[in-house]
Amino acid sequence: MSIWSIIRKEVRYNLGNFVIGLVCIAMALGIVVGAITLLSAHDIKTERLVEAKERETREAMTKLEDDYRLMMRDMGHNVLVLHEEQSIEDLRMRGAPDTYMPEEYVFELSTGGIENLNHLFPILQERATWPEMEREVIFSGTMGQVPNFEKPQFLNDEGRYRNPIRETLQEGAIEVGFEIARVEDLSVGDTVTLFDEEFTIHRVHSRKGNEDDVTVWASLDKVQEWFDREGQINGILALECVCDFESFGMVEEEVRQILADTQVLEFGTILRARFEARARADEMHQSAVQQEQAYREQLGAQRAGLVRIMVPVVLLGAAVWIFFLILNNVKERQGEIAIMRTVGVGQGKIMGIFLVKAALMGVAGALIGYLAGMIGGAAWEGIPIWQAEFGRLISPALAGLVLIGAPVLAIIAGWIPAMKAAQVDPAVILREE
Amino acid sequence: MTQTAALHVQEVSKYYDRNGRHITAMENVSVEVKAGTFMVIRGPSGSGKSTLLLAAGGLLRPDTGKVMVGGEDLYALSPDRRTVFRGKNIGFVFQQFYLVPYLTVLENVKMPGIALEIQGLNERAAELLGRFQLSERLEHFPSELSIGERQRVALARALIAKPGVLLADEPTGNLDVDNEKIIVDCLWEYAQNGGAVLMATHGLRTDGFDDVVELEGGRLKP
Repeated sequence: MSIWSIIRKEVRYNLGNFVIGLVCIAMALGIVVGAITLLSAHDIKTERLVEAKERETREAMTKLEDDYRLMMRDMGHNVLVLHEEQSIEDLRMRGAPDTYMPEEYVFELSTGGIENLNHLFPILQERATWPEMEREVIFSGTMGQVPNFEKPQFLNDEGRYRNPIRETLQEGAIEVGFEIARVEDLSVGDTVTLFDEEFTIHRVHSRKGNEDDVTVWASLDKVQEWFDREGQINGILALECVCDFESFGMVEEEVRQILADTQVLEFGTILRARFEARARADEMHQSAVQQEQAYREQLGAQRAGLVRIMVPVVLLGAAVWIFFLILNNVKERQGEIAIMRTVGVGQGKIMGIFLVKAALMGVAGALIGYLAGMIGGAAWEGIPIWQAEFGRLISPALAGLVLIGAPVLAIIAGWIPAMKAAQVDPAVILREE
Repeated sequence: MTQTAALHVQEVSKYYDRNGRHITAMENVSVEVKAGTFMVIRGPSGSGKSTLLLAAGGLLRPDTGKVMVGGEDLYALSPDRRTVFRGKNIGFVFQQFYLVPYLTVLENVKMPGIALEIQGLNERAAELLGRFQLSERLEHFPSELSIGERQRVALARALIAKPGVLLADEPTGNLDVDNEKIIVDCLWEYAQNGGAVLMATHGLRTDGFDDVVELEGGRLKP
């Protein structure tokens, strides 16, 4: 017969009393651990949400870039590189440049390490009469997109554009502007004669309200052939200038370092609109991320404040409950204590019986409370036990604190009742009964 | 069993002050129980019998007088030493039994083993329970026993440490005639084996006991 077996048998006999104490501690610690876990889970979830928002923003910005690219294609070009002797006044008057450059210029530019221009198109434009139609139009010849090897992100393994802004026109195909198609009643697939050759209309451009409406696009070779300009071009179009509006001058400087006898003509309004729209979109997304982060931080701070108040209240409540529970147990067992004292059991052992019982309540309650609190707190924030992130919530320090702290708390709460048990005067009990 | 063990209560008095009233529970009471004798204290309720037994058992310090057990002055010992001394040398039986409800019969009898080193505890418990006709009840709980059986378990517990003195406070108060006889016979057997028995009663016939004293109003009747 030992103290342990007395404690074990009494717990089994008086299981309700033990279970109430255990549940009380488990609930208190469950709330405490749950609240702490909730805060940790809150941080993890905030991190996750902000990451998702940032990813969303990146995706939105990428989509925006794509949208701009397509819009730019239809709206015009960001930058036009011309020969330095080209008069802008003549260009405006004629609608096409009349000063020529070697075709190789575009390749010098694409291999010259230029960083501020993404997509380069050599062009040869001529204002002339379409003989078969007897109409004055602008002929625009282009060979398609020349790879800029400084921009490998746009190129595939063969050095070609993965998603070219404009496909190279096939032999025998032309594109026509809106006004030409309207007046001549042309549509895609129609066959027309141009300089005694037959061409199929590959595309009819939408209305732009500028020279594009009266332009015929053909391959660069053809236009060079028609106007006896073999190996010559009169402009290089560059789409998607990556510089911002204020630092546009950098582009001209960069181009002139490679092609000294050129000038750069900007399309400022388009560039500004694009820059500002992109900046605004970026700002909105950043603001959304910051708002979410601020909201989560505020929520976290509110919860932390609540936890700071709740934890001591709950622990104090549990301690008071344990105190009365053990005090009641002592009162119920006074006859038993009296007879133990009578047969020679010392005060220390009597006290030990009650303190060990309290500690057992603490350990069992701590285990249950810790597990329940962890699972509940994490689930509250949407992190179920089977998710990998749950592992990040497990804190050995918290587990240790709870598993040591709970029995200590129970022992402290049970100390006075246990002392009362030890001080039971057998003479008083035995005489009264 | 120690044949020389005896109880000597010397001019013991105990007073209480309750609600401003001075109460004399016991005054100048002296009794001597020799080893191998069975003494009975008779008296009505409130005459001081229980107070005398508690004081004689080291559970209630008297205001005056001395209690000697086996030559040891009980109240000269420190509380802790007195507790151990009591466990080893004095057995108690009460009217209410005070069995521990969650322990079996065998465990109740062995319970003093928590505090004391008792040689051959299991064998001794089994032997006592056999002698008290409880061999078939070893694994039963107190709630499953009759009143008489409970008192026999309490008596076996009192004797487990082979004390020299046995103090019995109304041990037959709740029992029928048959069980009363069993208990008294057991006490007699204990006394005949060298123990000193001091039993308080208010109704039991006292023919044949070694010594009978009467207590009234806390004083021994001449």
